[in-house]
Amino acid sequence: MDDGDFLDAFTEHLDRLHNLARGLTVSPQDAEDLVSETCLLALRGWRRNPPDDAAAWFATICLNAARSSYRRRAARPVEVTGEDWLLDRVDERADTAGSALSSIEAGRVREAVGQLPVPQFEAIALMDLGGYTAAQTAKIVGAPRGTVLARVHRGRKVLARVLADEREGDR
Amino acid sequence: MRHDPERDAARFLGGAMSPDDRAAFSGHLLRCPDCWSEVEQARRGRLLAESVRTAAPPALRDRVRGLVEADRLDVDVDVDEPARHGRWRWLLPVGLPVAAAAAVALVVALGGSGTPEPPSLRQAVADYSAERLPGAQLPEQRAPDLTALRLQPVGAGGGSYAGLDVDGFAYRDPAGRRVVLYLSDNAFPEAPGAEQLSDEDGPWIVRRGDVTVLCARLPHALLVVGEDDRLVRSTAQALGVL
Repeated sequence: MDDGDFLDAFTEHLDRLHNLARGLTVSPQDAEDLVSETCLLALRGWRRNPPDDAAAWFATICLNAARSSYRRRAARPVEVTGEDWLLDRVDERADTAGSALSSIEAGRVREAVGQLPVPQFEAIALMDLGGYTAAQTAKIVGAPRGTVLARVHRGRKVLARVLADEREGDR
Repeated sequence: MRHDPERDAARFLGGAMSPDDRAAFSGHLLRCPDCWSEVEQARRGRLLAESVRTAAPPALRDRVRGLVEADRLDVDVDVDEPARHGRWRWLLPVGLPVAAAAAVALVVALGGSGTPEPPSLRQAVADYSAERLPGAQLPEQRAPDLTALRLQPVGAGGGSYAGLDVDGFAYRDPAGRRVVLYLSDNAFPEAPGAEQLSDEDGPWIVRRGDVTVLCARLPHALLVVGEDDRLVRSTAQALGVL
Protein backbone atom coordinates (compact mmCIF):
# COMPACT_ATOMS: atom_id res chain seq x y z
CA MET A 1 0.00 0.00 0.00
CA ASP A 2 1.93 3.02 -1.24
CA ASP A 3 1.17 6.70 -1.72
CA GLY A 4 -0.58 5.92 -4.99
CA ASP A 5 -2.99 3.61 -3.19
CA PHE A 6 -3.56 6.33 -0.63
CA LEU A 7 -4.27 8.90 -3.30
CA ASP A 8 -6.73 6.55 -5.01
CA ALA A 9 -8.53 5.90 -1.72
CA PHE A 10 -8.57 9.53 -0.66
CA THR A 11 -9.83 10.86 -3.99
CA GLU A 12 -12.48 8.13 -4.07
CA HIS A 13 -13.90 9.57 -0.85
CA LEU A 14 -13.11 13.20 -1.61
CA ASP A 15 -16.68 14.29 -2.39
CA ARG A 16 -17.94 12.91 0.91
CA LEU A 17 -15.04 14.38 2.84
CA HIS A 18 -15.56 17.73 1.19
CA ASN A 19 -19.25 17.73 2.09
CA LEU A 20 -18.40 16.72 5.63
CA ALA A 21 -15.75 19.42 5.89
CA ARG A 22 -18.11 21.96 4.38
CA GLY A 23 -20.60 21.10 7.10
CA LEU A 24 -17.99 21.35 9.84
CA THR A 25 -16.51 24.68 8.83
CA VAL A 26 -17.57 28.23 8.15
CA SER A 27 -16.38 28.96 4.64
CA PRO A 28 -15.52 27.06 1.46
CA GLN A 29 -11.87 27.97 1.95
CA ASP A 30 -11.90 26.62 5.51
CA ALA A 31 -13.44 23.42 4.21
CA GLU A 32 -10.70 22.98 1.63
CA ASP A 33 -8.06 23.66 4.26
CA LEU A 34 -9.66 21.07 6.52
CA VAL A 35 -9.68 18.46 3.75
CA SER A 36 -6.04 19.26 3.03
CA GLU A 37 -5.12 18.91 6.68
CA THR A 38 -7.02 15.62 6.78
CA CYS A 39 -5.15 14.45 3.70
CA LEU A 40 -1.73 15.05 5.21
CA LEU A 41 -2.59 13.54 8.57
CA ALA A 42 -4.15 10.52 6.90
CA LEU A 43 -1.24 10.08 4.50
CA ARG A 44 1.25 9.87 7.34
CA GLY A 45 -0.97 7.44 9.23
CA TRP A 46 -1.55 5.38 6.10
CA ARG A 47 2.18 4.87 5.62
CA ARG A 48 2.38 3.41 9.13
CA ASN A 49 -0.77 1.32 9.04
CA PRO A 50 -3.44 1.46 6.31
CA PRO A 51 -6.97 1.22 7.74
CA ASP A 52 -9.60 -1.43 7.05
CA ASP A 53 -12.41 1.08 6.57
CA ALA A 54 -10.79 4.00 4.79
CA ALA A 55 -14.04 5.99 4.50
CA ALA A 56 -14.71 6.01 8.24
CA TRP A 57 -11.04 6.51 9.04
CA PHE A 58 -10.72 9.60 6.83
CA ALA A 59 -13.92 11.00 8.33
CA THR A 60 -12.64 10.39 11.87
CA ILE A 61 -9.46 12.31 11.10
CA CYS A 62 -11.48 15.09 9.48
CA LEU A 63 -13.84 15.36 12.44
CA ASN A 64 -11.01 15.38 14.98
CA ALA A 65 -9.16 18.04 13.01
CA ALA A 66 -12.33 20.12 12.84
CA ARG A 67 -12.92 19.71 16.56
CA SER A 68 -9.40 20.90 17.27
CA SER A 69 -9.97 23.84 15.01
CA TYR A 70 -13.24 24.95 16.52
CA ARG A 71 -11.95 24.38 19.99
CA ARG A 72 -9.10 26.70 19.09
CA ARG A 73 -11.56 29.26 17.92
CA ALA A 74 -13.76 28.63 20.95
CA ALA A 75 -16.81 28.71 18.77
CA ARG A 76 -18.65 26.43 16.42
CA PRO A 77 -19.22 27.59 12.89
CA VAL A 78 -22.51 29.35 12.45
CA GLU A 79 -21.68 31.94 9.85
CA VAL A 80 -22.73 31.25 6.30
CA THR A 81 -21.03 33.00 3.46
CA GLY A 82 -22.42 30.54 1.02
CA GLU A 83 -21.56 31.99 -2.37
CA ASP A 84 -20.52 28.62 -3.70
CA TRP A 85 -23.84 27.18 -2.70
CA LEU A 86 -25.52 29.70 -4.87
CA LEU A 87 -23.73 28.17 -7.81
CA ASP A 88 -23.09 24.53 -7.08
CA ARG A 89 -25.84 23.09 -5.02
CA VAL A 90 -27.88 20.14 -6.11
CA ASP A 91 -31.49 21.18 -6.39
CA GLU A 92 -33.05 18.44 -8.45
CA ARG A 93 -34.17 16.60 -5.33
CA ALA A 94 -37.60 17.93 -4.49
CA ASP A 95 -38.61 18.20 -0.86
CA THR A 96 -41.79 16.70 0.50
CA ALA A 97 -43.73 19.80 -0.39
CA GLY A 98 -42.70 19.19 -3.96
CA SER A 99 -40.79 22.43 -4.35
CA ALA A 100 -37.12 22.70 -5.18
CA LEU A 101 -34.98 24.62 -2.75
CA SER A 102 -33.81 28.00 -3.84
CA SER A 103 -30.13 28.78 -3.54
CA ILE A 104 -30.85 31.19 -0.74
CA GLU A 105 -32.63 28.41 1.13
CA ALA A 106 -29.56 26.21 0.73
CA GLY A 107 -27.59 28.87 2.57
CA ARG A 108 -30.22 28.87 5.28
CA VAL A 109 -30.02 25.10 5.55
CA ARG A 110 -26.32 25.34 6.21
CA GLU A 111 -26.85 28.10 8.72
CA ALA A 112 -29.49 26.05 10.50
CA VAL A 113 -27.20 23.02 10.60
CA GLY A 114 -24.47 25.19 12.10
CA GLN A 115 -26.76 26.31 14.89
CA LEU A 116 -27.65 22.83 16.11
CA PRO A 117 -26.14 21.50 19.33
CA VAL A 118 -22.72 19.98 18.64
CA PRO A 119 -23.71 16.27 18.82
CA GLN A 120 -26.65 16.82 16.44
CA PHE A 121 -24.64 19.09 14.20
CA GLU A 122 -21.88 16.47 13.87
CA ALA A 123 -24.36 13.66 13.28
CA ILE A 124 -26.08 15.64 10.50
CA ALA A 125 -22.72 16.61 8.98
CA LEU A 126 -21.63 12.98 8.91
CA MET A 127 -24.83 11.23 7.87
CA ASP A 128 -26.72 13.73 5.74
CA LEU A 129 -23.89 15.83 4.32
CA GLY A 130 -21.11 13.22 4.25
CA GLY A 131 -23.37 10.28 3.51
CA TYR A 132 -21.87 8.00 6.16
CA THR A 133 -24.05 5.23 7.51
CA ALA A 134 -25.34 5.20 11.05
CA ALA A 135 -22.91 2.40 11.87
CA GLN A 136 -19.97 4.35 10.44
CA THR A 137 -21.08 7.51 12.19
CA ALA A 138 -21.37 5.66 15.50
CA LYS A 139 -17.81 4.42 15.05
CA ILE A 140 -16.53 7.85 14.04
CA VAL A 141 -18.04 9.77 16.97
CA GLY A 142 -17.60 6.91 19.43
CA ALA A 143 -21.26 6.69 20.45
CA PRO A 144 -23.80 3.84 20.30
CA ARG A 145 -25.75 3.57 17.06
CA GLY A 146 -29.03 4.27 18.82
CA THR A 147 -27.62 7.47 20.25
CA VAL A 148 -26.45 8.58 16.84
CA LEU A 149 -29.87 7.85 15.34
CA ALA A 150 -31.53 9.89 18.08
CA ARG A 151 -29.14 12.81 17.52
CA VAL A 152 -29.59 12.89 13.79
CA HIS A 153 -33.34 12.50 14.15
CA ARG A 154 -33.59 15.47 16.51
CA GLY A 155 -31.33 17.54 14.33
CA ARG A 156 -33.41 16.81 11.24
CA LYS A 157 -36.59 17.77 13.04
CA VAL A 158 -35.08 21.09 14.10
CA LEU A 159 -33.96 21.77 10.55
CA ALA A 160 -37.39 21.03 9.16
CA ARG A 161 -39.06 23.19 11.77
CA VAL A 162 -36.69 26.16 11.49
CA LEU A 163 -36.88 26.24 7.74
CA ALA A 164 -40.64 25.78 7.69
CA ASP A 165 -40.94 28.72 10.10
CA GLU A 166 -38.70 30.83 7.87
CA ARG A 167 -40.83 30.03 4.85
CA GLU A 168 -43.89 31.04 6.79
CA GLY A 169 -42.16 34.24 7.84
CA ASP A 170 -41.22 35.04 4.24
CA ARG A 171 -44.85 34.93 3.13
CA MET B 1 -42.53 -2.00 24.17
CA ARG B 2 -43.53 1.47 25.39
CA HIS B 3 -44.87 3.83 22.75
CA ASP B 4 -42.14 6.39 22.04
CA PRO B 5 -42.75 8.20 18.75
CA GLU B 6 -39.34 9.89 18.61
CA ARG B 7 -37.35 6.75 19.35
CA ASP B 8 -39.44 4.60 17.03
CA ALA B 9 -39.31 7.08 14.18
CA ALA B 10 -35.52 7.41 14.55
CA ARG B 11 -35.10 3.62 14.45
CA PHE B 12 -37.52 3.31 11.55
CA LEU B 13 -35.75 5.94 9.43
CA GLY B 14 -32.32 4.70 10.50
CA GLY B 15 -33.02 1.16 9.35
CA ALA B 16 -32.55 -0.15 12.86
CA MET B 17 -35.79 -2.17 13.00
CA SER B 18 -36.17 -5.84 12.22
CA PRO B 19 -38.33 -6.60 9.14
CA ASP B 20 -41.23 -7.61 11.41
CA ASP B 21 -40.98 -4.49 13.56
CA ARG B 22 -40.67 -2.35 10.47
CA ALA B 23 -43.83 -3.82 8.95
CA ALA B 24 -45.71 -3.36 12.21
CA PHE B 25 -44.52 0.23 12.59
CA SER B 26 -45.47 1.04 9.01
CA GLY B 27 -49.02 0.03 9.79
CA HIS B 28 -48.96 1.89 13.07
CA LEU B 29 -47.84 5.08 11.32
CA LEU B 30 -51.12 5.31 9.43
CA ARG B 31 -53.06 5.37 12.67
CA CYS B 32 -50.78 7.42 14.92
CA PRO B 33 -50.52 11.18 14.22
CA ASP B 34 -47.59 11.59 16.64
CA CYS B 35 -45.48 8.95 14.94
CA TRP B 36 -46.52 10.18 11.50
CA SER B 37 -45.44 13.71 12.42
CA GLU B 38 -42.09 12.46 13.76
CA VAL B 39 -41.32 10.58 10.57
CA GLU B 40 -42.58 13.35 8.32
CA GLN B 41 -40.52 16.09 9.99
CA ALA B 42 -37.36 14.03 10.12
CA ARG B 43 -37.70 13.02 6.48
CA ARG B 44 -38.11 16.65 5.51
CA GLY B 45 -35.08 17.65 7.57
CA ARG B 46 -32.98 14.90 6.00
CA LEU B 47 -33.95 16.00 2.48
CA LEU B 48 -33.09 19.58 3.31
CA ALA B 49 -29.67 18.64 4.68
CA GLU B 50 -28.90 16.28 1.80
CA SER B 51 -29.89 18.91 -0.74
CA VAL B 52 -26.77 20.97 -0.07
CA ARG B 53 -24.33 18.20 -0.96
CA THR B 54 -21.96 19.12 -3.78
CA ALA B 55 -19.05 17.57 -5.61
CA ALA B 56 -15.57 18.54 -4.46
CA PRO B 57 -14.15 21.40 -6.55
CA PRO B 58 -11.60 20.28 -9.18
CA ALA B 59 -9.05 22.60 -7.60
CA LEU B 60 -9.32 20.64 -4.36
CA ARG B 61 -8.49 17.42 -6.20
CA ASP B 62 -5.41 19.11 -7.66
CA ARG B 63 -4.48 20.41 -4.24
CA VAL B 64 -4.73 16.93 -2.71
CA ARG B 65 -2.53 15.47 -5.43
CA GLY B 66 -0.02 18.26 -4.92
CA LEU B 67 0.04 17.67 -1.18
CA VAL B 68 0.72 13.97 -1.53
CA GLU B 69 3.44 14.60 -4.07
CA ALA B 70 5.02 17.37 -2.00
CA ASP B 71 4.99 15.16 1.08
CA ARG B 72 6.54 12.31 -0.88
CA LEU B 73 9.32 14.67 -1.95
CA ASP B 74 9.70 15.64 1.71
CA VAL B 75 8.90 19.26 1.01
CA ASP B 76 8.17 21.03 4.27
CA VAL B 77 4.39 21.22 4.48
CA ASP B 78 2.87 22.98 7.44
CA VAL B 79 -0.26 21.21 8.68
CA ASP B 80 -0.61 23.16 11.90
CA GLU B 81 -1.65 26.43 10.33
CA PRO B 82 -3.91 25.48 7.48
CA ALA B 83 -5.88 28.69 7.44
CA ARG B 84 -2.83 30.87 6.99
CA HIS B 85 -0.92 28.74 4.54
CA GLY B 86 -3.60 26.50 3.22
CA ARG B 87 -4.26 28.39 0.05
CA TRP B 88 -0.75 27.74 -1.08
CA ARG B 89 0.16 24.37 0.27
CA TRP B 90 -1.08 22.52 -2.78
CA LEU B 91 0.99 24.77 -4.96
CA LEU B 92 4.29 23.74 -3.47
CA PRO B 93 6.65 22.17 -6.01
CA VAL B 94 5.07 19.31 -7.85
CA GLY B 95 7.63 18.73 -10.58
CA LEU B 96 10.70 16.59 -10.18
CA PRO B 97 13.99 18.43 -10.63
CA VAL B 98 15.76 17.09 -13.67
CA ALA B 99 19.37 17.97 -13.38
CA ALA B 100 20.28 16.86 -16.85
CA ALA B 101 17.63 19.03 -18.46
CA ALA B 102 18.78 21.94 -16.38
CA ALA B 103 22.32 21.48 -17.52
CA VAL B 104 21.25 21.45 -21.16
CA ALA B 105 19.17 24.55 -20.59
CA LEU B 106 22.10 26.34 -19.03
CA VAL B 107 24.19 25.74 -22.11
CA VAL B 108 21.38 26.82 -24.41
CA ALA B 109 20.73 29.86 -22.29
CA LEU B 110 24.09 31.39 -23.02
CA GLY B 111 22.32 32.93 -25.95
CA GLY B 112 25.07 32.75 -28.49
CA SER B 113 25.59 36.49 -28.67
CA GLY B 114 28.90 36.51 -26.87
CA THR B 115 27.45 38.67 -24.12
CA PRO B 116 26.98 36.79 -20.84
CA GLU B 117 23.40 35.96 -20.07
CA PRO B 118 22.12 37.61 -16.86
CA PRO B 119 22.19 34.90 -14.17
CA SER B 120 18.56 35.47 -13.17
CA LEU B 121 17.35 34.88 -16.71
CA ARG B 122 19.63 31.88 -17.15
CA GLN B 123 18.27 30.40 -13.95
CA ALA B 124 14.66 31.01 -14.97
CA VAL B 125 15.15 29.23 -18.31
CA ALA B 126 17.03 26.37 -16.65
CA ASP B 127 14.34 25.90 -14.06
CA TYR B 128 11.63 26.01 -16.71
CA SER B 129 13.40 23.29 -18.68
CA ALA B 130 13.91 21.19 -15.56
CA GLU B 131 10.28 21.67 -14.52
CA ARG B 132 11.59 23.18 -11.33
CA LEU B 133 10.34 26.20 -9.40
CA PRO B 134 12.52 28.92 -7.90
CA GLY B 135 12.11 27.41 -4.43
CA ALA B 136 9.70 26.01 -1.89
CA GLN B 137 8.78 29.26 -0.18
CA LEU B 138 5.17 30.33 -0.14
CA PRO B 139 4.62 32.95 -2.83
CA GLU B 140 3.81 36.49 -1.81
CA GLN B 141 0.71 36.61 -3.97
CA ARG B 142 -1.93 34.39 -5.47
CA ALA B 143 -1.39 32.75 -8.82
CA PRO B 144 -2.71 35.07 -11.55
CA ASP B 145 -5.90 33.75 -13.08
CA LEU B 146 -5.23 32.46 -16.59
CA THR B 147 -8.29 30.29 -16.97
CA ALA B 148 -9.34 32.42 -19.95
CA LEU B 149 -6.44 30.72 -21.76
CA ARG B 150 -7.41 27.36 -20.23
CA LEU B 151 -4.18 27.44 -18.24
CA GLN B 152 -4.48 25.79 -14.85
CA PRO B 153 -1.91 26.32 -12.08
CA VAL B 154 0.09 23.18 -11.38
CA GLY B 155 2.77 24.48 -9.04
CA ALA B 156 4.16 27.54 -7.34
CA GLY B 157 7.07 28.40 -5.12
CA GLY B 158 9.30 31.29 -4.22
CA GLY B 159 13.08 31.56 -4.12
CA SER B 160 15.99 33.70 -5.21
CA TYR B 161 17.65 34.11 -8.61
CA ALA B 162 21.00 35.84 -8.33
CA GLY B 163 19.81 37.97 -5.46
CA LEU B 164 16.37 38.69 -6.94
CA ASP B 165 13.47 37.40 -4.89
CA VAL B 166 11.28 35.56 -7.38
CA ASP B 167 7.92 33.80 -7.18
CA GLY B 168 7.31 31.17 -9.83
CA PHE B 169 3.85 30.05 -10.99
CA ALA B 170 3.64 27.04 -13.27
CA TYR B 171 0.62 26.44 -15.50
CA ARG B 172 -0.41 23.80 -17.96
CA ASP B 173 -3.20 23.77 -20.53
CA PRO B 174 -5.32 20.76 -21.56
CA ALA B 175 -2.91 20.08 -24.45
CA GLY B 176 -0.06 19.79 -21.96
CA ARG B 177 1.64 23.05 -22.97
CA ARG B 178 3.48 24.70 -20.10
CA VAL B 179 3.92 28.32 -19.15
CA VAL B 180 5.75 29.60 -16.11
CA LEU B 181 5.45 33.11 -14.72
CA TYR B 182 8.26 34.58 -12.65
CA LEU B 183 7.33 37.65 -10.63
CA SER B 184 9.71 39.88 -8.73
CA ASP B 185 9.66 43.22 -6.99
CA ASN B 186 12.76 44.18 -8.94
CA ALA B 187 13.24 44.36 -12.68
CA PHE B 188 14.84 41.47 -14.53
CA PRO B 189 17.94 42.48 -16.50
CA GLU B 190 17.53 42.51 -20.26
CA ALA B 191 18.75 39.50 -22.21
CA PRO B 192 21.37 39.99 -24.92
CA GLY B 193 19.75 40.06 -28.34
CA ALA B 194 16.26 40.69 -26.99
CA GLU B 195 13.66 42.21 -29.31
CA GLN B 196 11.90 45.26 -27.93
CA LEU B 197 8.14 44.95 -28.29
CA SER B 198 7.36 48.63 -27.69
CA ASP B 199 9.37 51.52 -26.31
CA GLU B 200 12.70 51.28 -24.57
CA ASP B 201 11.25 50.52 -21.14
CA GLY B 202 8.56 48.26 -22.51
CA PRO B 203 8.46 44.49 -22.75
CA TRP B 204 11.06 42.50 -24.65
CA ILE B 205 11.14 38.97 -25.97
CA VAL B 206 13.92 36.52 -26.68
CA ARG B 207 14.25 32.90 -27.76
CA ARG B 208 16.62 30.59 -25.90
CA GLY B 209 16.78 27.19 -27.54
CA ASP B 210 13.24 25.84 -27.49
CA VAL B 211 12.10 28.38 -24.94
CA THR B 212 10.59 31.82 -25.40
CA VAL B 213 11.10 34.39 -22.68
CA LEU B 214 8.95 37.50 -22.56
CA CYS B 215 9.83 40.11 -19.98
CA ALA B 216 7.72 43.03 -18.79
CA ARG B 217 8.87 45.73 -16.45
CA LEU B 218 5.59 47.52 -15.79
CA PRO B 219 3.35 47.36 -13.91
CA HIS B 220 5.23 44.33 -12.49
CA ALA B 221 8.61 42.80 -13.10
CA LEU B 222 7.50 39.67 -14.87
CA LEU B 223 8.95 36.89 -16.99
CA VAL B 224 6.67 34.66 -19.03
CA VAL B 225 8.49 31.52 -20.12
CA GLY B 226 7.20 28.76 -22.37
CA GLU B 227 8.00 26.66 -25.40
CA ASP B 228 4.98 27.85 -27.38
CA ASP B 229 5.76 31.35 -28.56
CA ARG B 230 2.11 32.23 -29.25
CA LEU B 231 0.99 30.98 -25.86
CA VAL B 232 3.68 33.06 -24.17
CA ARG B 233 2.50 36.17 -25.99
CA SER B 234 -1.16 35.37 -25.27
CA THR B 235 -0.32 34.96 -21.61
CA ALA B 236 1.39 38.35 -21.53
CA GLN B 237 -1.65 39.89 -23.21
CA ALA B 238 -3.99 38.25 -20.73
CA LEU B 239 -1.91 39.72 -17.93
CA GLY B 240 -2.14 43.16 -19.50
CA VAL B 241 1.57 43.67 -20.00
CA LEU B 242 1.59 43.43 -23.80
